[in-house]
Amino acid sequence: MKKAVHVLEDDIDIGELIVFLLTEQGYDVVVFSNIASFRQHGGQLPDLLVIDVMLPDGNGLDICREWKADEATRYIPVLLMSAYEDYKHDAKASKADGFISKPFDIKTFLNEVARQLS
Amino acid sequence: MKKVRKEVDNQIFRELFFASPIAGYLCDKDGFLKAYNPAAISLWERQPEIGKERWSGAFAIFYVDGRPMPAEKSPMAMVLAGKEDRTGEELVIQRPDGTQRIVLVFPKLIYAATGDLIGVYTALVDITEYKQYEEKQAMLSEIVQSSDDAIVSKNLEGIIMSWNTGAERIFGYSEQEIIGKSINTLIPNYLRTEEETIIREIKAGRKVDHYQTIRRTKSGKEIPISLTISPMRNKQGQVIGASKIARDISDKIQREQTIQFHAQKLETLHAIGKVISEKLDTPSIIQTVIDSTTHLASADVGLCFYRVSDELGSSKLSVSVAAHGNGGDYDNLHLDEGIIHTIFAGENVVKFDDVCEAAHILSLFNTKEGAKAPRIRHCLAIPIRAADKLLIGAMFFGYAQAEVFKTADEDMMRNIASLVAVTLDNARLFEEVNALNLKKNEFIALASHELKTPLTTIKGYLQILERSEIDQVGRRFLTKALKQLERINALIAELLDISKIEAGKLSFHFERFDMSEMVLDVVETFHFSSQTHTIFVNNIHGDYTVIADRQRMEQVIINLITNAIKYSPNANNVYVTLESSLREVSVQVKDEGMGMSRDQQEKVFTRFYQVEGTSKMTGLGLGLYLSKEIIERHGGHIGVNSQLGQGSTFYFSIPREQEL
Repeated sequence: MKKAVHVLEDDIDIGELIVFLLTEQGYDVVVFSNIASFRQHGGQLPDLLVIDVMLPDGNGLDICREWKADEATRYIPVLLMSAYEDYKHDAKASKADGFISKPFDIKTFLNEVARQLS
Repeated sequence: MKKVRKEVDNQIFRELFFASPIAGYLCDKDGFLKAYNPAAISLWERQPEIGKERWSGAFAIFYVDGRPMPAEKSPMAMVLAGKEDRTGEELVIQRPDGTQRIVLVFPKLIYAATGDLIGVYTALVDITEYKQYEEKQAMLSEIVQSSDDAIVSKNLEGIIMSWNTGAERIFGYSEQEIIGKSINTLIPNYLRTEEETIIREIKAGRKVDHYQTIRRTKSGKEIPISLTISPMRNKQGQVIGASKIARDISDKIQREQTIQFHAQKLETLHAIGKVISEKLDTPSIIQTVIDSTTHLASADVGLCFYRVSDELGSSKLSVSVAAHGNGGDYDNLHLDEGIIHTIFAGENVVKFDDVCEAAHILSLFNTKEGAKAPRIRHCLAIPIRAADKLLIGAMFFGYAQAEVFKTADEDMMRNIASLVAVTLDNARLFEEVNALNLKKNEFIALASHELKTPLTTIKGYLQILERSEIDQVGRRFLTKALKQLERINALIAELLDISKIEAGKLSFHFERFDMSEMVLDVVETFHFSSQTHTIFVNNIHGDYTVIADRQRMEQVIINLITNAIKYSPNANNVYVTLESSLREVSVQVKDEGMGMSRDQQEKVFTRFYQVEGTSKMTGLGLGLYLSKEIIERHGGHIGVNSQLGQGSTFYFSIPREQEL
């Protein structure tokens, strides 16, 4: 069964790039461009959550903390991304499973995704 | 019988005449000189010819006022002429050598037994010495009397024996009142022992010079005086008392106090100026200024209202309080801008003789219940105007006592107010600059984020292309494009770091790691990317464990190796050497490149610095500046050894552990 990856990223082009990369690897990918639409999604829980930190209607770190605080979602790995490397430490504090700084190396990115899903 | 008696008489008279120590001479009834005695010769210092000179044997005679006296007008002539009896008159005789003697003349008519007038006998009493002594005494007494200083003498029992007009003026007692009284009359009770010490000194024959003390006047007022006391001796040299010269030094002391007061004022002004020029934090400057100004103005409380603008640009009046004891006693410190405009209405100083007549001023000095602060009755109000005369605040000095209020130095307060205006202007400018700088840093942070977003997409697609089937040329171009992309990324990162340093927001995340491992990792990436240089690592074995920010250390090492490669285009080797001690770990990066002059070495760690003549070498000139900042923030040291044409060695060392 295909692994499901949910991506929360407001930049359409980066979202498109990630969809391309992950689909190519055989993952099911859904991209949300803001927190509101992400929350509205009532479907199945993903196997991995990839979140950009700076979002138009909130902060990705908060979503991460929320998921990690919830019994139902805590087991789902979360990868945080940002162009601000400083968020790396906040990501760790928010119990994220990994951090990817932008611009990323696609090999690094895919390795990190695979590692989280294995 | 009669004749015999006459001869005996004559004989006695002759002997008396010649043996007399008093100068005497005889003239006949016509005034011609008939005889004189040796005392007369020594008085006149001449021997006038008998029978030739009339009335006087002196060389010349004068009235006491100095006019020449004609001999026919002399008392002797007058007596002979029967005109008047001028016995005992004073006149001056001059000797042939010009010296003068003052004499008393006693001309006496002499009659024969028959009653016929024979002549005149004149006795001359030399009173020159006595007159001179008298004059000297008069002069001394005049000096003593006319002196501004009190000149007093007392005996060894401390009883006042003499008292001049100076003493009368200074101490208020008249001569009659004080003579015979004890000197203790003048000495305040608490200084009584002083007199014992003085008497002891005097008895020992020593002088007491310029001794500053306090004496009490008749009215009970205590005045500062300077005393000089000398022993007085009798002819046998025994000390019998003391003469005291006392000078009233109230004026002097007041002058000294005035000078001291002004000096203190200057010092305070200087201190205020210093605070204003050194500090930029408005509330603390204003507090210092109002504290010292309140002290200077001898006010009981000082208030300084000053305009501050908040972030939204609206302004309000802030206040600083200075009060003895507790400034928190005042709980009604509100003032509307409108009210200060009403208070000053173009004035430079406003004095409220009675604050009860000005409700808004009175309410300022309201105190909390139970407060110990004195009730303010008077107020000196001084406006603070900016350079453009705009009213930007005000100082209010409250006084409980009228005398202090009346002597307050308005000019000085006005000067201080203008200093405060400068402070507020400076503070406003500083805040504006700060705000702009903050905006700039925010902008750089935002811009760097926005620049990185498209870079992410570009990098991703270029890498996707790189993996696909493309020809050699295409692959070469892709590699070049990706390399340039990394450069843009590094530049953006540098800019962001600089803005963080400026904002003081460059934060570190310390962790324990092995510096040698990290160096090897970095060197390995260079082996992949650098086609021109080989990097040798020396001394790799050892304990290089440190607690530091791993990412930032990596940044420093990458920067040093990148520079080493960049500035040695004609060489092939770069040497990295690790060293460690108990407390420190250090890394050296040595190249065989162009090297640097001493001048260049001094500037190389400054911001935006690029070695001259290296225009081909690109970059912002921020790398070493950042490295220095990172190393120093780790408590370490970074430096360079270099010689032109001989290559450079950059090194840094950091403590193994961070003191947090």
